[in-house]
Amino acid sequence: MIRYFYYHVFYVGMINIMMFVPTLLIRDRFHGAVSGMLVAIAISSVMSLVTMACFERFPGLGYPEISDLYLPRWLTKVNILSAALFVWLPSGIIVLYSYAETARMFFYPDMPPLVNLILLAGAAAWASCQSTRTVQFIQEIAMVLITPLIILFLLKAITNENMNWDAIRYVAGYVRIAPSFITIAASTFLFSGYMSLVLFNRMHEEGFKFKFRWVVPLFSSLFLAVTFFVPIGFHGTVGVQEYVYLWSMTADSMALDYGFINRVLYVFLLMFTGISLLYVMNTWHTTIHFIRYTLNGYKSVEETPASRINIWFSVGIGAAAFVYMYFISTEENQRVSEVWIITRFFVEILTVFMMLYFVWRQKKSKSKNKPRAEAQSAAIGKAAE
Amino acid sequence: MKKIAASILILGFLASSSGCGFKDLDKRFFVVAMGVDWTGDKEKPYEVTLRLAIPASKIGEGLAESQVEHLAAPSIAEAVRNLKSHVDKELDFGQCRIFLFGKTLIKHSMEEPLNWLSRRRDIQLISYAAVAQPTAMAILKANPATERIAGNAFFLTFGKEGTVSPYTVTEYLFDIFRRFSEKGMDPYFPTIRFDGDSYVVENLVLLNKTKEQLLLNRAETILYNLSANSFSRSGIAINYEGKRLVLYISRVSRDVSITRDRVPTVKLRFKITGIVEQSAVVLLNSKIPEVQGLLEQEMNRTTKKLLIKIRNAGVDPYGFGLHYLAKYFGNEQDWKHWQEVYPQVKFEVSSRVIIESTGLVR
Repeated sequence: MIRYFYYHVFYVGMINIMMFVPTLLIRDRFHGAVSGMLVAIAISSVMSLVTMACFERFPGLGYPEISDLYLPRWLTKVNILSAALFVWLPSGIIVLYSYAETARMFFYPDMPPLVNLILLAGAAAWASCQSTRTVQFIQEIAMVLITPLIILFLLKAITNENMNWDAIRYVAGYVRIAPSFITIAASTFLFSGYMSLVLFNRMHEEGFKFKFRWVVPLFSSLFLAVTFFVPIGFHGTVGVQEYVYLWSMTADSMALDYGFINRVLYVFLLMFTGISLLYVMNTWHTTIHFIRYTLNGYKSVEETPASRINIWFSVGIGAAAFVYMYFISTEENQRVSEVWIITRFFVEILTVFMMLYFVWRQKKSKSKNKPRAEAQSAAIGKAAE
Repeated sequence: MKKIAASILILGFLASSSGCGFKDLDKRFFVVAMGVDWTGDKEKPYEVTLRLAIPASKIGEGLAESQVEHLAAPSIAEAVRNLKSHVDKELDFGQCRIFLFGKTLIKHSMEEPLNWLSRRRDIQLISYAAVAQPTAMAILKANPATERIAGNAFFLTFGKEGTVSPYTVTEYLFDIFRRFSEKGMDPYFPTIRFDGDSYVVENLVLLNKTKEQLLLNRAETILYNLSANSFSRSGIAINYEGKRLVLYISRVSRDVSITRDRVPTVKLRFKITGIVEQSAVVLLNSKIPEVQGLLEQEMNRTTKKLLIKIRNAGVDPYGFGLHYLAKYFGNEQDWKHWQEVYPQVKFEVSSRVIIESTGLVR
């Protein structure tokens, strides 16, 4: 069931818009964004392919279980608990907030902001407290529903006659400027879909192989180019920096002359309802399961009905999102997302090195000590069950 | 018991949160067109005119009813706020698809109106924008004879659903915003006037980054649309053997290249395919190459004249400057250099005209 993994790659590739990645890239468009993106493509392609190869060696195990095999228990616990609380949880909250604000701004400006958030947080919390397998199914259904919208939107954007290719070419010429760190960190976010393996690798059966693994760097690079260049094509090299809701305004610059609705903006917002909820559901689900693992070592992927502890955690996370929105303004949210993007970049690199270390340990123990390795693979098999 | 308590809690919560400012459709006034004029008055320089659609039970030619409200104020935002007290329903800009700017405003400065438009979240960026002659108020008060739905005549004129005229250069709001800030590309507006029963859109106003610099006449507008936007369905006319010969252009493609000399030369190449629409002289096959040559000469001559006129006005609606920067991956120095030499830039126009057919007769 490798296709579930690629869904993660796709929606994370698109959710960057709600994570203010385009804003960060556009801000540095004359100060090293283009070269930063190229560096990020190289770094992330290597990182994603290496991570995938590493997880292939541990079928059916999530990151917490693998870590437990080779590291002391307390270290694993500290690691995954801080990853859950400082990386996975805030990412969902930031996206939820920025989508809630965008949707409120353009769909129903008269509505009080918190009502909108309650609806979205409720939906995301409800979805995220289900079992891992259910979450995967939700994800497939949502992807099937929004894919036509995504294709329509991307075609509309790229083939638009109002897009100015001169502006794009002019900005692309600034590739000669040395890359800036923030654009590298921000661009690598688009590739982060593979990081969902830390939990969702539990779904993979013994002997699985990633087919079409080149899809990850290819599609993420494509999304990166679209997310950066299309707004420049529509708003020009100078005007593009003036927009707060950059991509919403870009979507609003396209018209569906013979569609049911004239404004592509609504197609865009509808599409992002789905993508944002998917992203929030998956990040919060990962948070819940990481916390549960540190509490009682729980690692099953199926559970019906959803256990009470899941529900309480998801309600708690929803409440946290609520508190966050109450105290933080849109501008501050943008700054928080910047900090988060940089933190995530380092955590990702750390994770990749840890995985390499685990693979090395696995190889060493296999070659050194045959009987022990067998016992270990038996343990892995048991854990997979 | 728990379930009942929970549902009461949820119901209570929903009931308390529903008191938001949402207004029903029949409590809203849809603004279908908006105009801004410059009065020149010190106290209240901006005159804002709104055309509000009145919901009608009958739909038919000339039956579209609308209410026109106007008010002068120190700023556009204040005028709109004040206009709210002139009507009984909430104003809604969500359906407004056309913004008109008065002739006097465009001669003064476009900075403030554009700023207001770009800040409002309910303004569609795919709205059309145009310059109203003589004033936006006069255009909005006019009643076209064939209008079925209030404001619809504007949308049909500028959009592609209705008439497609080579004289009408459609300009979207997002493109206006882009051109007003872009390096090496300047804004333009189509002009609109009312001739008694319908709207006439046939001229183009070219602006620098703040105000009007040049008004193109009819022939120049059609040529601009052809040479800048590759707009086909247009025509070239020449005098051939003492009679008028008109070519209908069915396809046109263009190619721009700019040399990197100290004073750059802009080379424009056109490939025009068309059919003869009118010619009193019988066109035998042997004459066609000659006619093609004459058409090419006419096209080259008029386009070059237009390009030089636009250059001398100090504006660049074609975006040659941006193209120059894009082509040579320029930086700030190249941009400064371009700005310095633009008044002396040379133009070379070459075109190829292919007559596909002479219509149903020779």
